[in-house]
Amino acid sequence: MRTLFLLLRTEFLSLVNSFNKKGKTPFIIAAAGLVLLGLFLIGMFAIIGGSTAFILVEKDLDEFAIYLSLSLSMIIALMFGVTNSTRDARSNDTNMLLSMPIPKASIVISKLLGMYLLDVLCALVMLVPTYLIVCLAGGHSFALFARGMFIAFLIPALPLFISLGISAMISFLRKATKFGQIAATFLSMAVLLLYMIVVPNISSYAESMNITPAESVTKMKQILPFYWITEAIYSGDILCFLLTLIITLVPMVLAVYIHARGLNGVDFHVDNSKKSRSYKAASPRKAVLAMEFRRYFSSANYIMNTLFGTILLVALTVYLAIKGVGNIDILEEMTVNGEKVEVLSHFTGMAWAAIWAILINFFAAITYTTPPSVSVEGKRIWLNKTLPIATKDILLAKLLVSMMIFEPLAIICSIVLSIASRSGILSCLTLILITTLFHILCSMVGLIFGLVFVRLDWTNEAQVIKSGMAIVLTMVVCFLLAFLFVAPLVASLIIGKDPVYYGILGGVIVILLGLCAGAYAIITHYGVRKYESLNG
Amino acid sequence: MLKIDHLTKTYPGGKVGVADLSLEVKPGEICGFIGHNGAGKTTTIKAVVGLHKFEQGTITIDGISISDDPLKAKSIIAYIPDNPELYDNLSGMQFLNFVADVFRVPKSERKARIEACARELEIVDSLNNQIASYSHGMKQKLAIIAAFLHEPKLLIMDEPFVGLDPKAAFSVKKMMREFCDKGNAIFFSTHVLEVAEKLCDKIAIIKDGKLIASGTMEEVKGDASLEEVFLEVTEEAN
Repeated sequence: MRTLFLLLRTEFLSLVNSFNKKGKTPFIIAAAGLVLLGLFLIGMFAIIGGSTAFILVEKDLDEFAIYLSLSLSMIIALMFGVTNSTRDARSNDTNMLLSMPIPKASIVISKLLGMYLLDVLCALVMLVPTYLIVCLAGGHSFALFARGMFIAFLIPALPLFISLGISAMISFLRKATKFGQIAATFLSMAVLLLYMIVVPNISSYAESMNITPAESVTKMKQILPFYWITEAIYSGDILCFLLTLIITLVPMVLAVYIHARGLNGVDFHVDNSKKSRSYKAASPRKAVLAMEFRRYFSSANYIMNTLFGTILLVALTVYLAIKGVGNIDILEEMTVNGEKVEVLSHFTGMAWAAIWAILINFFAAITYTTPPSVSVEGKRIWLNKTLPIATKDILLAKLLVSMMIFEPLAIICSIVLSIASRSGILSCLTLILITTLFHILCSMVGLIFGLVFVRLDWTNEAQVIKSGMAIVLTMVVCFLLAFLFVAPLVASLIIGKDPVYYGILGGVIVILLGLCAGAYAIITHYGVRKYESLNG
Repeated sequence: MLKIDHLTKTYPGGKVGVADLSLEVKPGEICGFIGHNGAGKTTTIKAVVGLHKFEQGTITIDGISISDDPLKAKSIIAYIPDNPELYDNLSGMQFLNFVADVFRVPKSERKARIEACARELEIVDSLNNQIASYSHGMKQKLAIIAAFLHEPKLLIMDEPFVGLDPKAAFSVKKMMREFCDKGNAIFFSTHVLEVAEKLCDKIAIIKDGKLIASGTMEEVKGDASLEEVFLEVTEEAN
């Protein structure tokens, strides 16, 4: 028990210290920061849970309110769990702890308890406001509240089990295939996207619900385990209560088992010695480019921090293509001189190029891999510098990676959006040209700042990928540039005549070309000199 | 093969790393570079391989200046640093392919070279594993294979034996000798004076950035041991 307490205290200290990485902030202030962040999240989730429940209770859908809160708390817990599980399953301190006279059970519990308590907190902040509203506004007895509180402590077992299972699977993929890291990254992104889509829209979903309580039961039964848990809380049905115990306690035991196995090293022993060795050859330039790609895709941190804009752009394009450009709320409500206009017939092809360029440029402004690309080389910079590769080629490879990640998808999105808005080939080509040039410019700005504010002495690559002056300044400058280009594009929309569009869009292209040429000159002169002066 | 002429390197802040250092390593020679910690060995080596810029002097490799034509010079040298930081997320094989690509080693030749070297250093079975899983010694072995891969004319090594097991250290010494017997040259730093004494044709002793003794092994040590001479000359320089 004493060792368990010591381990929990250490976990807590480590959590607080993560808010105080440089060690300059007093402990009490770091702890207060952690509490404030917790309160903010609790408040935010409680408001979402409470308001959703209130809307549904008003529509006489009390049971569905519990069902929805329950599902939401699971999604949030799953998001935390999966984000955690995509990191290495075996944390750095485990070996040290296993070598100490500490019972293994204490280590397992201390590691799991942190995750479990976080999930319980998620469940409580979503469910307590819901229970209160269902009991007070729906006129139910507080026995429902008591049952709900008890079950709230069991519910986290499910997401915990799923995330530990995912962790084990990723651990296997990392060892057995090349794609473990990519799979882990995309999984994190998918869960984050699910969270971003579900959580902000839950209240409007509740508002749009026009079903009877009987229909809501049919809806709930689509996911039976969630329905059983809801029934156990709502009606106190004994069978559902027993089923709830089984579907939460069994995963709980399995979760502890998986984690205990993990401590011994879930060592999916993969024998690579029998694998055939590939001796594929490539030109030096291709080799450098391939190396830059491998480095990018080998880092979940790097991908997560740079690919989000691309994924959002694709998601938005798919949404617009499916919903139809003419049916977008903001465009549907558009009026000219007080009269509603049919957007598809009102805007000409070039106007759409301007609209989509504004949209894509903002996504481009958050999608570049270049600002940390020099710093991530860290102490390995000696390799590139001692090999017979021209410095210009190394820097261009960094730019190419950035472009090859964003451009193909941006071009596809441009084509899809042009088709959806029926804007024509010339408009589509103009759009592709503007967005490509803008993204190249952002990548080059990122590379220049990456060279100016280079940091090679990092101990964890997250230090240069997630923060740093290069990233902050690139974001600021690229957003500023995106805003600057909004002005002429919006002006072209207001004036609304094709010759004007041609003139303004042509002007934008010329300015972008000029800026790109200037940035390229800086990279090939100052950038090359700066890179050659670096020492890891 | 390697000619360092009046090399002076000053760090920002005025600290002199190397002062007016001149030495030559001829084809077929193994030259050991010894000195205390902080004497200027790594600074000199980094200047030779193009990692450090220097304000005075010239460094030529097979007649090619590292300052004037760095790419051409780098294409005939190989460098093994004291602490080989490699690409952790690549497999050993992917890293070797990358180096082979950069030095344009044909596909037909790289297989034979990699396998021969890897077998000698007993790392064949680990080549498909990620470098992140390698020990320091295995990383060192991988860096050594990478260095020999393109058959350079000059090999620059900074403390090459640190972290190597006795069998691997023996193999590396054998590979170094065979490499120089083909008319190539090696310039390497070490703190292990016994190794330097047995392996080197030439020795250079550096102290506080200045070369205090250099020449063939016989010229430098005479009848005494290298250890005695090293301690004597470094004391005298005080």
